[in-house]
Amino acid sequence: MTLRFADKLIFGLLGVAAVLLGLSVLFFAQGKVIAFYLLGAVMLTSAVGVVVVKDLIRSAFLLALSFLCVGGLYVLLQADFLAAAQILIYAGAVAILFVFGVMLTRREQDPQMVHSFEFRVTAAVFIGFGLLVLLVRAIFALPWPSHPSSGAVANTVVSIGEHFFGRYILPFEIASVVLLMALIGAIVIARKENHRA
Amino acid sequence: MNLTAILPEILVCLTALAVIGADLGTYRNDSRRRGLMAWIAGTGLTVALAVLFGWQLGGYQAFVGIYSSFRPDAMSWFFRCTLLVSGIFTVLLSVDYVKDRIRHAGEFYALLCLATLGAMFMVAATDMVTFYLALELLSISSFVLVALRKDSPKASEAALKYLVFGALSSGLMLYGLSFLFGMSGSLEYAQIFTYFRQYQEPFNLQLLVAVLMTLAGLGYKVSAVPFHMWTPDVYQGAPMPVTAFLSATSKVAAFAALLRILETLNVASLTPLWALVLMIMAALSMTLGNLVAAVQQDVKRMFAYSSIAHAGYILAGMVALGDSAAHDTALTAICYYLLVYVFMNLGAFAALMHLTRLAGSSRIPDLAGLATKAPWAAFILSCCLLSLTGLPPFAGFTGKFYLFGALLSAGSEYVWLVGVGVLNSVVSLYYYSRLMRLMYFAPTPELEGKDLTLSPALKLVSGFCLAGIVGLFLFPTPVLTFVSALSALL
Repeated sequence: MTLRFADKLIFGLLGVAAVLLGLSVLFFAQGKVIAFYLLGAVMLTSAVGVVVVKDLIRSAFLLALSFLCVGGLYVLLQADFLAAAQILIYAGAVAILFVFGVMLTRREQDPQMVHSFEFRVTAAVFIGFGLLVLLVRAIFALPWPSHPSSGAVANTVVSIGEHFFGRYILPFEIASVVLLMALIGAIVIARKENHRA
Repeated sequence: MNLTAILPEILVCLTALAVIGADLGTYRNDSRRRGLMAWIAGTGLTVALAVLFGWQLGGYQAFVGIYSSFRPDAMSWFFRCTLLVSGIFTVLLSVDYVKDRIRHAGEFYALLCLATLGAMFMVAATDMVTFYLALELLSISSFVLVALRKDSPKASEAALKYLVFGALSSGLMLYGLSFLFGMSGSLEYAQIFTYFRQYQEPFNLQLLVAVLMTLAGLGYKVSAVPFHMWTPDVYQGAPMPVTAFLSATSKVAAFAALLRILETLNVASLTPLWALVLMIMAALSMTLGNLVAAVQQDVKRMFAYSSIAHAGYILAGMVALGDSAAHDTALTAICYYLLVYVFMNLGAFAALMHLTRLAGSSRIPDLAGLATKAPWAAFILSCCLLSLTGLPPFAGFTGKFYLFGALLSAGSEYVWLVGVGVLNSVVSLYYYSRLMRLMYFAPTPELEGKDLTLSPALKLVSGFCLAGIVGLFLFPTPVLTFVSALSALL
């Protein structure tokens, strides 16, 4: 079996993760910091991989990896419910949906994204890089104010539930209407038409 | 908690469900079923509008909002009425089109109601979560509405473009909003406003990114240059009633939301920044929109560019919001103009629906000489075009007059922008009058086998719209006094 670029990338990421995991066991006191950088590095690398890798299926799995790392970051922020939802919905449902989508719409050839280095790609890279520099500079321009109310909550599920049926009742209800609308829309677009004469 | 304040919204939501429910029944024939669904949608929206009017007569001001998610103030009352009017007119515009060409009539009307619902929540939202969810409700149902004609490749292409651009701009806007949240620590407009009023730091990159990204996302929704690229393709590819809906409801809702966000950011440290950005966007939109519209061969594309140009005029008025002396006049002018815009645009689309059906295409040369075959539609279209140009005796004139007046009273540094606007109105007269001249003075084509009668629904809409633009010109005072009393939008 020959290793493709994507496989090398995934194995590389796993290797980095293993090394960092070992380090975090050694330096347990700094576990949180190490975990943050570990998750961040894997998340960003796999996100870049999603765009760069040519094979759609590998892209989809890299995306799932990236989502998992975001879930890990939520754990670090002590948002346990959010982390579980992230892993269930994004890594579990969305990424797998992509895989199914690719599988079911597969043509004779494997879908391969075409990358060619023409003017547009170069321009996009430059613009993306410029945007990155701008955003990073903006993030580090000033210290972010800390707000006392944003402390850790012991039981986030209860607190989220209370907010859903209290302060954020209306957004919660609108979200349900959005879901209904998306359901109707998806069905009407995706259903097969039996054309009448 | 008291949900009375959102009774019209609940009614609109129930209407959407009722339409879906009615789709399940068995009917003697298909056109009866479609007619019934249009009737339910139209009636539901009208009842909601009637509730709003009834409240205004009997103590609307007493309502308590739902936290900061929904603010039942005078501005939201005004825009909800405007949106409902626009929704009802769109339903009327759709009746015949849906009968002929849309397969999934129930879904069409339901999505139309849900999109209107999203727009209504959007204009009343005063926190970022509600605003964003309402915006997505409006946007996603618009994507589906555009894609609903699956037999047309153009419609699919338009929907895909709309979706991709929409996702990108939502992402940009969310990034900007997350910066605002990160700095102020609150999702509520009122608290963000308080935070920035006490902001001590000198101007920095954080502010720049937050404001630019938020404006970029909203700039897409109102189709202002340089975020306008999707507009011509989507307007051309979408079914005609959906094009009308996008040009009226989406635009009004996005501008109303923009008004609230600008009020939030209307503080000494931020106003110069967004005023400058809006000024550039306004000048570019007016100029590019009008110049490109002048060379279009497709009437829907022409209206797309014309709607970009109109976004420019309104953004120019929004620049004046930054000046405390001109603030109130600018607010009045913008609200008034948006109301008028709904009437003149939907009127024009009502006439165009009839004319393009007769001509069998939406190319401008094909509309030549149709005035003798469809005198009423040609007359309505001419009136609406004159109003869009900003000529009396139509309300478009009054609207532009107040917009530019507000801008002039904001200070002498905006005179050039008014100059750009006036010059652009002249350019727009060129291409609007070209269409009128073609209809009236070109030789009449032979239309064999075409039904020349204007359908009652279109007659009704066009009559209402004409009454609207003439009535608002002759008696602008009630509306102007109502909107001039708007204050405290947070």
